[in-house]
Amino acid sequence: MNSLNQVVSLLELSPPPFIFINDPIAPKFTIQSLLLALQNKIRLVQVDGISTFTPRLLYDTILNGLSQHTPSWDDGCRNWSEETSNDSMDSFLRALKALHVSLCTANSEQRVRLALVIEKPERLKERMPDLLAPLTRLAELTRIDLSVVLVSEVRWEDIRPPLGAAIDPYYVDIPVPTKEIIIEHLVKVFEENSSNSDLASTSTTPHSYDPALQETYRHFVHILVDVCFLYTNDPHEIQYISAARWPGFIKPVLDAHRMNVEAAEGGDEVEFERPSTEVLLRLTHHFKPSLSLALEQLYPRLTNAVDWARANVSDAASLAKDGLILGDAVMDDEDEEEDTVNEMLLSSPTRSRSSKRIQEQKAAQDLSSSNLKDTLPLSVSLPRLSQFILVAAYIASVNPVKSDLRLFGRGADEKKRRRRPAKRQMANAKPKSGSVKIPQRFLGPSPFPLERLIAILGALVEENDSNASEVNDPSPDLLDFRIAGERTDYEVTRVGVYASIAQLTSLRLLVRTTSADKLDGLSAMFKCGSGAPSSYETILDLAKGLGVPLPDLIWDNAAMG
Amino acid sequence: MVLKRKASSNAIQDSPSKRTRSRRAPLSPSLDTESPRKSRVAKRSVPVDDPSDDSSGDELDIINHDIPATPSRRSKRLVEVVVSTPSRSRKPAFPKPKTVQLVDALPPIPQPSPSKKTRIVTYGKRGSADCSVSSSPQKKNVQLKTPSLTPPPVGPPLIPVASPQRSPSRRALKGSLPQHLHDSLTSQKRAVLHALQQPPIVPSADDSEYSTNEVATQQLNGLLDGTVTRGEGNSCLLLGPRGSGKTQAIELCISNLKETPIVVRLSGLVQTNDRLAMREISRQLSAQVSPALLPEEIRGAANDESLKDDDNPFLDAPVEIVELSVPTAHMHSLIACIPTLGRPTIVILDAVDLFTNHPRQSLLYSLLDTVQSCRAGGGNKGMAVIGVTTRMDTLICLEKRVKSRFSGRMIRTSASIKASQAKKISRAMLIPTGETDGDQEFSAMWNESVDEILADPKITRILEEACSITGDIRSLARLFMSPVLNLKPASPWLTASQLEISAEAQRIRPEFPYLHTLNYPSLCLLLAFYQAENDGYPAITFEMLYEYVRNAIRVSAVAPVQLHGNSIGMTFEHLISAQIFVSLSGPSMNVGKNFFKYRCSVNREDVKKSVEKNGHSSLTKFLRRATGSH
Repeated sequence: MNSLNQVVSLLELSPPPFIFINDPIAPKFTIQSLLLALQNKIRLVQVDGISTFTPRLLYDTILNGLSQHTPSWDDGCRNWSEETSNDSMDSFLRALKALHVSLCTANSEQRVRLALVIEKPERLKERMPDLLAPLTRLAELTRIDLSVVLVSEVRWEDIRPPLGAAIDPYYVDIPVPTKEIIIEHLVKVFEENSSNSDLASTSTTPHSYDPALQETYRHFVHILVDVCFLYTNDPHEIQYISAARWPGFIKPVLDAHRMNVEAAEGGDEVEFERPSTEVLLRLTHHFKPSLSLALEQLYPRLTNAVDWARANVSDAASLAKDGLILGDAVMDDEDEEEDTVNEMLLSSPTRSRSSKRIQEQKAAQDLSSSNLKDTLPLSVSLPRLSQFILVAAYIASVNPVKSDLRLFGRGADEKKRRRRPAKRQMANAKPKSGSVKIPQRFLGPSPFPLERLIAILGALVEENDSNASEVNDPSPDLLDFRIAGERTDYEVTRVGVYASIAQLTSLRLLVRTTSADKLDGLSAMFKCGSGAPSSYETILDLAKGLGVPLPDLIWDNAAMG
Repeated sequence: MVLKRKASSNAIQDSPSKRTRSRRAPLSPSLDTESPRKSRVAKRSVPVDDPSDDSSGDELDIINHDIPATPSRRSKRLVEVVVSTPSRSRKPAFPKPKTVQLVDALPPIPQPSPSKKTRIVTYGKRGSADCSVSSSPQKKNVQLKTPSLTPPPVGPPLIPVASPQRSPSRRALKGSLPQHLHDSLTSQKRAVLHALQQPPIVPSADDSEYSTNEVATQQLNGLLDGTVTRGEGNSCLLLGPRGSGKTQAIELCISNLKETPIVVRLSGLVQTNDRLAMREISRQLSAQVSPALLPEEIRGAANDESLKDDDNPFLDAPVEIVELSVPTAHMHSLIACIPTLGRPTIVILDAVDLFTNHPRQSLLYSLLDTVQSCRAGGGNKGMAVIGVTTRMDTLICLEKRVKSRFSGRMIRTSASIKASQAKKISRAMLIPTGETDGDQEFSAMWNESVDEILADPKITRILEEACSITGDIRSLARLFMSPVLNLKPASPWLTASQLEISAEAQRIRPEFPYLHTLNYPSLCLLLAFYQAENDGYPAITFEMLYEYVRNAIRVSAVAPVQLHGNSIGMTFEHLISAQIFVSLSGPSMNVGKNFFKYRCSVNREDVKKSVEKNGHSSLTKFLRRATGSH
């Protein structure tokens, strides 16, 4: 924070033309605090490198922001300046000068200082590389009191325009936020929330951001930061998780209070009292496991805070178990236990459990996470043949071509050739010279021709699905399959197989790597789609359901699983 | 005069040996009139304990303002005792106004005789000196001080006498600032920062030979003078590295001219093609010249937007952007009109190397051709074209026909300054002249602290380093910025250590200064890359890193990271956005995100060091494994 204060005082006193702030963790947070600190002291505009993706947008945003002009629909969304100021850099410079003059005449008693805060300047470099150099020299070019502040996660060395065209900035390094800073920030947000009039209900019951709860919140935040700090130091991320968990955390206390109020029959005011230390400890004990769950799901935004909070409401029974039903709640544990066993176990893992319960808990977790992803497992949603195709595609993607004969080839002697014991590559991958080739499984699926897919599919079906096809076949006597594997061959070259492949391609479970309009020449190439169909675990599940011994069919499965 | 002497003596001497005599030393050379000594001598008979010795009393009065927290209780008590007296003590002092004026130099008392400057300096020095002394037993000082006055001060012994003053003053400068000087500190900070933005011009150290920049300025001055007074057409290139004072030299020369010329400033960074440049020229000309004087074409070009509105009543809204279309064929004739304007014109082309990239270099050709055909007399005024660039090969970039019109005159500025010169410049920046709205008491103290810090050998080393890398004055000024910003009432003076820190942050920037403070998963990923690199992989995918990390955690059997993939994946994305991991290929639809290839921009050694610095036990274990497998 010290370096940020430096920037603030620098901008207030006498800023250099160009400041570069490098904040690897939370640039948004830095910008927010910077803007807050300088709010009424100098004319400041914040520009986002993502939203201003053309020079015109950039110029207009800067000019409108500095003049505090908001384009309104009624006047045709006019920009601040009357003449065109966004067609080129020098028009923009002229407009900037004019703006400064007009601001100076508007308040003559003091000199007007302008500042530009640009977020994500690396985007500007990508989009408008020749704009960055004049932007850093803006003060020099316009000859007005102006300072450009770039705030980025990236170092200036990575953004710097070539040939030394830009002037050297005054460097500021924002250190990684510490626990104290994060906690302070969260408590400050709490204060803002509690002063927010929308939240304050008119009734006597306090809401979850009541000022009386601040100490409790501080305690909660301490625990939360302890859990999260190892994984993220971004105050905004932790704030998000806190917003999802805090209302649920404090709910038992508020409920108890409400019950007390009701019990008092409106006669005398029941004073809301802060939860005691013991209650606090119980709450902590009860909710702590859900904090790491929240981190796991909310930090990568697998779900949003509202949904997560809804899904993770603690029910009365589990609360009662931890002694957290504070009022005279009517409880019939026996009835509710069966319904809520999963969630209860979820939220109180310290209790002794039977193995069955553990399984149930796992199932609940799986279900919740799959619900979040909004997809059913492939084994449920796909027909059997498509599942076979996916497994075959995975094998074809992962295995080298030369291994096919060894794995699937069946000679006259009917002797099954097994895959040769795979070498452990990671450990002794030291090259003799040059660099090592990265194993295929780290590079993702490789493309394969359609014929190979069909062939592997045939082998799989022949070995693992022969009886099924017999059962399914309505007229086994019409065709006479004498040669071994002939039936499978027949099955596998049906139109339905090709239709399934086309369908899987449209689902992007398979990806066609050659262009679709190429008919002759090379056969169509495919590969597994990214995500689930190219992950070993998913395919292993599928294969288990089909009875295919997948680990035996992977050439180099040293590190699989 | 006193000021100068003081500065030099400070620089030379370090030994804080004779404290006692020092206190009178800076005073005596300037004030060696007979009467004060006499009066002093006369007063020696006064008992020492009696604070009616007006000089000491008033000095202590100052002390009380300067240092609220006096180090020892005893001295504090003494101060208080003294302070209570001045009303009593000053009265007898008034009948002998000369004593008051010369010895204690209290600012509020109007004094006619010594020059103001001298008095301030003396006063400030004494003030701060006395502050420090107050930490030692006061009585002894008073005793010692008085006899030290009696021998008439002579030239030579003065210098050793002056030396010890530094040591007490240094101690004084360590204290925090009294309340009433806080505003002065702020205004001083503002002034210094302002001076750091616009470094003052400091004449070179020795008068015998001129520095490169002075020669350049002189040449440029002569050139522009010829243009303005004799109507010559001149062209030249001003070459020099960044921050070597090219623009400064031009601005200085233009401000020195007798007649104000028309100045047209173009920049290759902004005017990226000749059309834009032409429009800018016409705009700037029409802003500086009364429209009647402008030739019709230029005027029309400049005002085309207004004209368009007048001429075309059918267009109620402006049609998109009206690019000023000066056909390149006309450009030459337009520029040729410039010498016919009422005043001489100076065209400054910043980043002139970029103008050479314009097609056929027609703007440069027109300008230089006009300059070349400029004839003195005949009613035409002079015109000068100055190209400013850092590129030394700009002359080669010119096309042959353009080069043949260029005078070939090249003026160079240089950015090599010596450490002594750098010290002078920094002093000028840190003690800005001009408006000093701050307290005089404070500014004197400030000046002294600056002199002291510049004498510090550490600072000398830093400045020498800075000068050996680059002579850029702006980068020199940047070094001082953060120490100045850090000044607080609690620590109001610059220190060498702060400057050292800032030198590291501003000049010798470490690649990733924050690396060791990154969180656990980030360092795990970096270590995994380290290990993969040891195994010979040039680039990695996320899957690979993930596996390395998983293995490492499995082996080390301490698993503080729940490796569910998610958390570490987010960390990875953070590192990508900080460009610690750089993608080798662009994004593609067909490749999964976890299979993109990345390389790491952090140095191996840096990873190692930062892990060691971080000191997490399982990380160090990981590191040991990573290096061990090598």
